[in-house]
Amino acid sequence: MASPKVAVVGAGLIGLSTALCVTETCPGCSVTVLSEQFSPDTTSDVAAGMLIPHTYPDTLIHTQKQWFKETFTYLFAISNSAEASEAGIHLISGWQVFKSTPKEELPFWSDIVLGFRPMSQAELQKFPQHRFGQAFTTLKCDCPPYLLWLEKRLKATGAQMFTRKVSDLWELHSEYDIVVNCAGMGARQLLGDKELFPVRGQVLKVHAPWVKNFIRDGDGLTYIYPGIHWVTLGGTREKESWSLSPDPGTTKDIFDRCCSLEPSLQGAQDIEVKVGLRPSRQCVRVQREVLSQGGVKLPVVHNYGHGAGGFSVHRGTAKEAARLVGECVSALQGSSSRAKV
Amino acid sequence: MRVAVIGAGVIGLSSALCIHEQFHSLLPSLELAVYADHFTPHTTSDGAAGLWQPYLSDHGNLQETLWNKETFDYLLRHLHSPAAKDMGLFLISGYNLFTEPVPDPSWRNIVLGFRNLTPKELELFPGYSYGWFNTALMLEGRNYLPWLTNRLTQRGVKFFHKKVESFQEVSGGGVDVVLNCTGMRAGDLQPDPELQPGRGQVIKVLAPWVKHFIITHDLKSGIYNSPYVIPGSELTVLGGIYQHGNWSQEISAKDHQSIWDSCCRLLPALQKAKVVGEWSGLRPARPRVRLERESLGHGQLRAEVIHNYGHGGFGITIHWGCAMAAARLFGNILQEKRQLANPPQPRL
Repeated sequence: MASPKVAVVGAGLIGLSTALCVTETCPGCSVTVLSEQFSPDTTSDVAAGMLIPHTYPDTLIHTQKQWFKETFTYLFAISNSAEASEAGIHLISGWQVFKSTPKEELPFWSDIVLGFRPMSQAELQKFPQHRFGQAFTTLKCDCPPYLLWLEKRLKATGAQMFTRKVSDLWELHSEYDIVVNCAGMGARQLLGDKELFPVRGQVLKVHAPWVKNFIRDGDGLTYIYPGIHWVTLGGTREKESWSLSPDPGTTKDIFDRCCSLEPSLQGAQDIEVKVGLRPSRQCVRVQREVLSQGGVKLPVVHNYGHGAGGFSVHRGTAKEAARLVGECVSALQGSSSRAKV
Repeated sequence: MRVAVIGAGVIGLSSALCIHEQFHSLLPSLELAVYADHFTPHTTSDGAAGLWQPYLSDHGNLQETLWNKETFDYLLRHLHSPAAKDMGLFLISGYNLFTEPVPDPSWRNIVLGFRNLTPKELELFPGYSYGWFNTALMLEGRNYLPWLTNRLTQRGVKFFHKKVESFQEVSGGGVDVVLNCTGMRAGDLQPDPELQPGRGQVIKVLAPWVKHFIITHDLKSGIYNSPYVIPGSELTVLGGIYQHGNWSQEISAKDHQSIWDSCCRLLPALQKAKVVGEWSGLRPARPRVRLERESLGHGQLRAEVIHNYGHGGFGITIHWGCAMAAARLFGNILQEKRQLANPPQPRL
């Protein structure tokens, strides 16, 4: 097989980062990204892009930690380079505060982020409704910049990108040798995976450049994440809600909750409301599969279901998926050389 | 009771406000006037980045450490007030970097969350092997000074744009107390060989992806002669120049290059930052702050002067503690005047 043709379905964070990893691990492959949406219209563009992991109930903690570590290390190097501003990657410090002391005081990722420690009493005074907190420094990926930077890196490798709605993975079997499914929430319709469900999130993006630290309530519902040009205020976690329309009542509720954590936000300007559906699953599906119809086979590598934790593990899962693509390539080359005999 | 304040930088304006807040209700006749040849945005305080951070060592000057603490605590109390944004007041975290271990500073328990840097954090800063992380405050002069001016104007304080050439110029005509907050130019009113310029130069850039202050220290070259990066609410200030005895406020191309090269080496992410301005100013440096009373003149021309100058590169850091100390000195003056007016009656 001369140059295996790989199609990556989806151009959000997972699609683009996986495509890039495939070009890195399988330089002989030609990579094409196919997606209905590109930045700034993907789910990833709505997210704040904070590297604070979400815990998947059915993925091994060891694996989640490995994925997070790989992602953190990769982005840490970019943040400390001349590319940082173009890639939208920057360090940020802040606090995660709890109204009551959490069962698990040391999350699995505490030794991967920087300077993790409990908050002092003096620091907690800023949060009179909260009794316990953790201070640390982590990374943030601003979108669209990060996605656009990934697109630029991809184009430099010769990879192509097309706007195209893929209704069925099988429709790609005649044009491509391997399909990588990074369709996020779209995998629900594409595959009929009932284990994949939306968790609706509404956020506000506001102009408040004096806010330099992140603040997150440990319940995951209220957070303030300062980005390069705006601060993301959140949020909601509405299971099985498919609505992409902003809800004005929710907007006010988010704003009020965030102002109670950071009163200076009252002076925030230019409020923009966005909605995204977190493509949630009990475990991230990073897996090989072979589709076959009438004797024709199509190797597929799945990489979807990252829910609330996409940014935190994206590079780790992209590398894992690229490794699986490598296995598919070997299998194809193995069977084509067997065919020669 | 007429009070003339000379100087409209952070020291002059805050001292005026502190005195007015404390005494106007006790003293309905209190009249304050501020005289200055430069007002915001043209004062030394406007050029400073606005980071609350004292020098590394207080040289055993506990009084100054206390004034620093009073200022920090005062600002922290205002952090959640609706005025904070207008004051240019906000929290900021960041790094102090060294090439060798150093003792903890006098202010380790004043700031929030002070700790040493971990080895992984130090990987960010090649060439530096030791450091601190803490959360402190920013108080941006270009917001704080107009805010102080508004508060004073609301209180009926008058402002006069003039260069005062002598204390007598303002102390005649019924002025009882003069507050000397003239910063670098105090020597023009009364020679003070201990007051020397600590020339600084800064480059202002657009780099909103930088969320931490980073201050490096070279113990051999002295304070502020090593690169620093301080992100403000709109601009990021790059600096690292301290030239003792240099009175020039011209922009030096050599200093510009030195700041730019050293800051980009420190923080490669700055390489793409757009330069939007440059400024040079003189830190009013003195071995210790001059905060004391002096009686000048005789008879009709007698005036009580409260000196409050010589805050070097830590004016914003120490300003409120000094303002309150100046207010206490003012209180002493009032007390003395009342005793003179109403001497204690002998008991029969």
